[in-house]
Amino acid sequence: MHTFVSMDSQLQVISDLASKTNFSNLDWGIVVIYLLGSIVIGWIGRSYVGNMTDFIGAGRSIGTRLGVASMAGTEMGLITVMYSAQKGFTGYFAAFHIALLAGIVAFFVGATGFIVAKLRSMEVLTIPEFYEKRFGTDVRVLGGTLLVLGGVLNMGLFLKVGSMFIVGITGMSNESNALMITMTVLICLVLFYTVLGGMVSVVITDYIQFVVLSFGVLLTTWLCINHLGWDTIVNTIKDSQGEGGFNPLTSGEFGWDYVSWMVFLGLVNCAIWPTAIARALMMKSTSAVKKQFMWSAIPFTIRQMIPIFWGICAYVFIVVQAPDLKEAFFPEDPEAASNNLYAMPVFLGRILPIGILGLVSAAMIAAFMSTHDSYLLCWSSVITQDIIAPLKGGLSQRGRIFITRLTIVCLGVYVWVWGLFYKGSDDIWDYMAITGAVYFSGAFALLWGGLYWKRGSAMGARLSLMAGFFAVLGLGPVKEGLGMVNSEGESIISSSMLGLTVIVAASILFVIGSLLWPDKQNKEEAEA
Amino acid sequence: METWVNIWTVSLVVCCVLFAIMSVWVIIGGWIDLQTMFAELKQQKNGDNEDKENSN
Repeated sequence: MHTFVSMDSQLQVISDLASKTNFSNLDWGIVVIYLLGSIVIGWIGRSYVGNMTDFIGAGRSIGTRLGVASMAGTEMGLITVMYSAQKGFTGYFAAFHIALLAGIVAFFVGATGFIVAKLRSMEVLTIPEFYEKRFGTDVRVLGGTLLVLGGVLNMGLFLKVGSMFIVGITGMSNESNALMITMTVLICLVLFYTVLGGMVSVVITDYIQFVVLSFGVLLTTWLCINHLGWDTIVNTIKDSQGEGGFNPLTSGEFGWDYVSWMVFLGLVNCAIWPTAIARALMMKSTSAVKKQFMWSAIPFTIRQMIPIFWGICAYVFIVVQAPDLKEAFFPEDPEAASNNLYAMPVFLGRILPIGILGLVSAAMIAAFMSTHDSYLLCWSSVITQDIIAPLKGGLSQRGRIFITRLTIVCLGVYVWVWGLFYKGSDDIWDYMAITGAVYFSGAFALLWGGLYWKRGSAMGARLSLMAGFFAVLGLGPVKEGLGMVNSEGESIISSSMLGLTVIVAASILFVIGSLLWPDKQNKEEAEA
Repeated sequence: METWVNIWTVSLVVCCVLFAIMSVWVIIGGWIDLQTMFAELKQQKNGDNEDKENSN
């Protein structure tokens, strides 16, 4: 387990290591120009927003290729880059299975239209809106509340982790509160253009971010291989890790339960997670949705495979070429090891040449912003459309846009505060999977049950949603608080096993609840 | 172990090549879609404004 908690105390060590970066004034210039561009886009997007559908769905006027760019821009976030690199650093080539499974599942969803095409054909704007159409208003509010709870917890560490990348790659000193200042500047910029232009701004920036990101990602990968050599990368992992470095089923880091969990997370990420669904719901037609998801299988694979590869390269670089980093990341006393999240950015800061470093940083900041804007917009629109509006009733279009904008700002403040003060001890990927499970465990049952099973009832939906809440038991601080750890501080039950258990339980409860307490209409049909 | 090495090597190469091809398609096509989106949004907004004026 690679702790998050020791991060702050180790920043000085990291700061010293990162100070050897190649980052120059030219690189800073590239980054600043890119950031200023985002402000201009926010202003442009504002002039196209007329009503709530424009603000949260870009007027449902997105074509397939722009939809793919937007999906890729959103899902290939800096947080994904960071946690995937961490998985590559600790799981080596065996971690590639996470990326490959995600791509295969996304292609399956696109080819069959599973969940996404049916949802699009119902012309809803958010998932809880579907809950209401299928199960009633109270399920919409309950589902919306759990969605927001899981969602905002899930994105709680995005800002901090993204800022860690920037601090690591640029070599900014910790003594001048670099992390906090970076967090503040980035969140303010994202809030500015998202509040102004809503989904219109988000789609424009997603497109530009895709352009920058695609060049940056491929170029960096080529430079990594060029610097280390393919044979060195493979042979170092072979020599140090043996088969466990390549085979996910025999790797100490993974195993069958983890691989199964990844299949399910692959499905969740593309067909159940609200930000991905939001992209499906703004497409012109169901056929465009299917095409969008089939093409998105490629970025869904790449978004994890490439950063995992960078993490592997960082490991090889540290072991083979950087004794100072080896001492910091793999000291004799494992307790004194530096946070391995910094390994990849520090590695890139050392091998990438001037100019390219600025381009890659801009690409990563692009990745950071495109995820943040979409997430902020997604959760705030759920709060407005699915919690406040049904409870209050009679909200005007103008009022809805105002509340959504206000909520975006509040969520931005929350992310900033949570990033500074949360002291968990989870791997980021595991933290995200578990917090996300609060929402998607119940949502999975409601979506398959609601869309494909006529007898699914409101009571089944309520029970299923509430069962999903128990996924929080997988969070490090909660496990410790409830004594779910052994004398050595290790979890009694793995997060992947707990997540799978909650999902199965939520689906079973949905079926039992629906059979025991059918909706009136279903009951009458059954009796007839 | 060699089988796994080959699987991951091929996966990485294939994904990078596909991503490069897809990027060209998305960058060019996305630009065209973006222009279409602007035109449709402008049209929708003008329509909304006309409706408001008529109702007044």
